[in-house]
Amino acid sequence: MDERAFIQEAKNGDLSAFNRLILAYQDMVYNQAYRLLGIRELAEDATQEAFISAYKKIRTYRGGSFRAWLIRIVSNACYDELRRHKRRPTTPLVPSDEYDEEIESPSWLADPSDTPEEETERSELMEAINYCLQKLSIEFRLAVVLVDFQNMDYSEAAMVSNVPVGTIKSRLARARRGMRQCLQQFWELLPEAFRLNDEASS
Amino acid sequence: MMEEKRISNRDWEKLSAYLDGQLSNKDLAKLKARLNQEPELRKALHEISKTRAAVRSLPLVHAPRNFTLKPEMVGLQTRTPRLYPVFRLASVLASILFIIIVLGDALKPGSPPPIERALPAMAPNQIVGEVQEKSAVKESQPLEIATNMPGMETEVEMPETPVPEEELTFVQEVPLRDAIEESGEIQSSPRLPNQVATEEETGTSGSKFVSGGNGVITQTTEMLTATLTFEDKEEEKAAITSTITETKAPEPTSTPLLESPEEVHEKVVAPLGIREIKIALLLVAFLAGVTAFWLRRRR
Repeated sequence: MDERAFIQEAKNGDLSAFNRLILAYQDMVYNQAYRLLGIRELAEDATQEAFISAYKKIRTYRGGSFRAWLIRIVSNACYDELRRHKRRPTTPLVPSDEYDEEIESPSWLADPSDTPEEETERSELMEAINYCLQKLSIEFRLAVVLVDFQNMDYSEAAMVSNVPVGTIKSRLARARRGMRQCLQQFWELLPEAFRLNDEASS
Repeated sequence: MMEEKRISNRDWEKLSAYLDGQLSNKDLAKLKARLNQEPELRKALHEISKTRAAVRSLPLVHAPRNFTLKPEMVGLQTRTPRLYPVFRLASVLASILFIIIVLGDALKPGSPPPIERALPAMAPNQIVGEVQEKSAVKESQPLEIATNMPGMETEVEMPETPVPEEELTFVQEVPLRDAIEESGEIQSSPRLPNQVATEEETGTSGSKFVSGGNGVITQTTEMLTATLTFEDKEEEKAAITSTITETKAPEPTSTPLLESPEEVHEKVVAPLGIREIKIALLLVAFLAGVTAFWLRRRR
């Protein structure tokens, strides 16, 4: 696929050329939306809105990674989708006190609305990971999805998130800590390679 | 918990960046030295590494459907060609006209075949004459050709005259001669019996009346009546032919003979037949419709 040619034709208003780009990137864009939103229906809506927005903004694309440009657009669409549906508020991964110091307590991870039966329903490993991912705040979730799921480097993730590289580094570290603590609830589900306390027990 | 408290946020960031290969050489050397000395830091690195691996194990899912865009989704208006409404209207109008003509043709009681029926308003200058056929007139009786009024055509009275039937299109019985005879004195012109009143004479003089002193109306024979007596067939044919030639329709039609003197038919020979009009309308309706459809599909 001659991506540059299709992009240029799309800039000239050729919708069919842009649709060729959509067919090439729709899986990637949908996965980004799904990992950020966690609900397939919402992810579909965000993906469609993202492509509509991308076509309208195609003239503002100035080169570089077209994939990163699309991920940025779909990430913004996910933000809008979250605001629109006013989903349940996510608990900040690392809450701060009045002195901007982290409150290090594992109790915030416990969800009082969850029953053991509900936890049993999330017995699948992937569901457990997705569950913990959705427990993160959207900024931290975006950082971990961009770096660990989309395999972006820090500078690319910073460009997509529109934040400095240092912020990405900090958010990513905190997100991983939060994921680590969340996944400890499901340690029995985790394969050996992912179990966190094997070294500690040894 | 003690381990976490001993590891600062900055250490967590360095461990995370270390896993991603984002540390500078200087920071990398320092961290490696600390990892050799601090088991808690090694344990933290191990845990965050497995967490990272778990997230990276998430599979890619396929998009549940295609997200390709349609013009209306991005506000692109599909422009209808300007000629589309023109062709559409032409097709509709032609179809309506065709239906009207066909229905009118079918619903008219006792109407002759459409191709032979006259259209009164189409050729006013093609009214060719008035022919009064009287069965009581014998061959020896004179042929009477008269005019009623200026501009009107010649009235021909002829018994068993072999006039082409197609050329006789208007018949009207006008008892003008009897009326004039009853009204009073009529001065006949010294025209010869075999003389036929020409179109110029009848048309230009017409019904010219001269008022006498006692109210007696005098009418010249050139104005009113020309009485002819055909002695032989040859003269009769020549006279009638000369009379009708000027008023002959360009396309003679096969009008059936009048069955009775009282029945009056008005006929004007149409320059274009009904059938041709129907065909033309059908063609216009079909072609305009196809063109409009093509224009709409092409956009």
